[in-house]
Amino acid sequence: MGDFDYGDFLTLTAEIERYLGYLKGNETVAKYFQDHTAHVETNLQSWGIDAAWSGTIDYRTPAADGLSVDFSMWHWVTYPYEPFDARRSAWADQLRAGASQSWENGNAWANDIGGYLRNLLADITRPDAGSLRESIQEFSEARIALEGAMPVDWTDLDFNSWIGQSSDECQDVVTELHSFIRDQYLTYFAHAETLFAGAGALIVQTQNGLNPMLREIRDDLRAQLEEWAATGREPQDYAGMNPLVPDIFNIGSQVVDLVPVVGDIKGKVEDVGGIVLDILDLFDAAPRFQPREAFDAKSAEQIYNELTTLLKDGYLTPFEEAMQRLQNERSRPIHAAQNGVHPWFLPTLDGVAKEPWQHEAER
Amino acid sequence: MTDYTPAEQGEIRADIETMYRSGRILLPERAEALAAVAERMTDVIGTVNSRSAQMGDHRVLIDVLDMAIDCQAGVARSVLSLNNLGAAVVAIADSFVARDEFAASVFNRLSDELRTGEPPQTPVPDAPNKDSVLNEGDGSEYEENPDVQPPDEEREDRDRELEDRQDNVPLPEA
Repeated sequence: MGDFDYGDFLTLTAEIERYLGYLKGNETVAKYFQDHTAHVETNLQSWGIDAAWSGTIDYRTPAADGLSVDFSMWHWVTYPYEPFDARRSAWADQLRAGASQSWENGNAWANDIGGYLRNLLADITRPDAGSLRESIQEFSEARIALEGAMPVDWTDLDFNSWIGQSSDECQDVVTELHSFIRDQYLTYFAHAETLFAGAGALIVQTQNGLNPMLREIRDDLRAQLEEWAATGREPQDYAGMNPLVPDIFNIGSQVVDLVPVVGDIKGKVEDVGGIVLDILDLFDAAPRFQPREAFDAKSAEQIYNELTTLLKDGYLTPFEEAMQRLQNERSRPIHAAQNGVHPWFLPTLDGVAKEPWQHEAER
Repeated sequence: MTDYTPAEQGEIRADIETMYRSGRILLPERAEALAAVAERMTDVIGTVNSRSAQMGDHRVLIDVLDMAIDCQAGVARSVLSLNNLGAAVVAIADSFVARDEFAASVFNRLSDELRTGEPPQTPVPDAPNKDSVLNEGDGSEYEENPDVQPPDEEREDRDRELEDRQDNVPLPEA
């Protein structure tokens, strides 16, 4: 069975949302303090105050999991009052309220980013690997039933027991029916089966690479937040994120190579079971990843941009291209060949029972 | 198969028993088997349609559905051909029996199963509605996946909202 765990996916997207909220919260508090300093410096004169004093503020973010940031570790604030001025403490109270509100607002910025990521990735994450495998098996069973309904030796109905045109015609109809079913309906139904299995394998392999990629992004985000928590400010030596990215092009090639082309099934339908099993093996294959340049994103906004760009351009788009390739190189020519089969339907023989029949002996 | 003695050979030499067996039993059995398979194919098409909607209805899956529906239609229509062929074989045998004494004498010895009743006509299975199956997102169990806003627009909405909220966070005044 595929490795993709939808529950883990929900957890990962929820954690990425929470961590982006924490990061944006930290940034918004820092920005609030910086704006405050500019505000004091701009207005000092109009307030009739001569000097400003740089200082600390006792404010700590309420983040859980050891990710709380202690803003008292650095001089984030410029006060219009000297350290022992009684008005300074009331000023600091107002600032703490503003910082607290800024933290909440920063967290709200990330509201439902998890839901957005889930919608963005729905085409890949919604199909369940187990149900897909069952559907492919259901397809195979119908193909096997069709093969069984028209066994190879069935044409031996012995219409030769009477002599004449009518017996020849009956034999011709049976032979024709047999070939319509096996060479047309069974052949193209089996093509459809291998194409469906191929599309399923492509989805499952793509799914299998998703959580490892998201897990790295989550862990990198957490590492950044830990640095914030440890140092009380934005990380200074940040190397950038370097998540694993599934090699969708390679996955697509593997699938396309396994799906038969026109002419590979007609008369060889007994090979289809083995081909489908080979395709189903891809469901369990370990995902392949490709090297990628680290993205040098530090702020919540940059990470959001890099993350969504990576998911769209590095993951969803290659997946869609691989699906398109499966169509261009396989289903389109096969479908065209099927549409080119004329006649597609066997004559229905309406009214044939009412035709007069004559035995050769009667001529 | 009836064994004809040399004396019996002559007139219309047709194996009346084999003809009735084909027309009343073997061909209808085949028709029923094909009808059952056509129903199964319809079920498969329904399942694939649902999965396709979940996966995002890629063109390759629409091709799969389109191809499978045409195959199902072919198999379903073959039931009609077999029904008519069975009826024709019985009609030929009937006409031989009506015109030939020896054929009639063989007929009279056949079991009721082979002699009586209209040749069975297997109902022709319905074909799935192509227009509705191929309509994107039209899974029988699952809805189409949601359309999402482009990430940069989504982020700009967030930024704007945060800016508005921050505008309302007061800075202390001296």
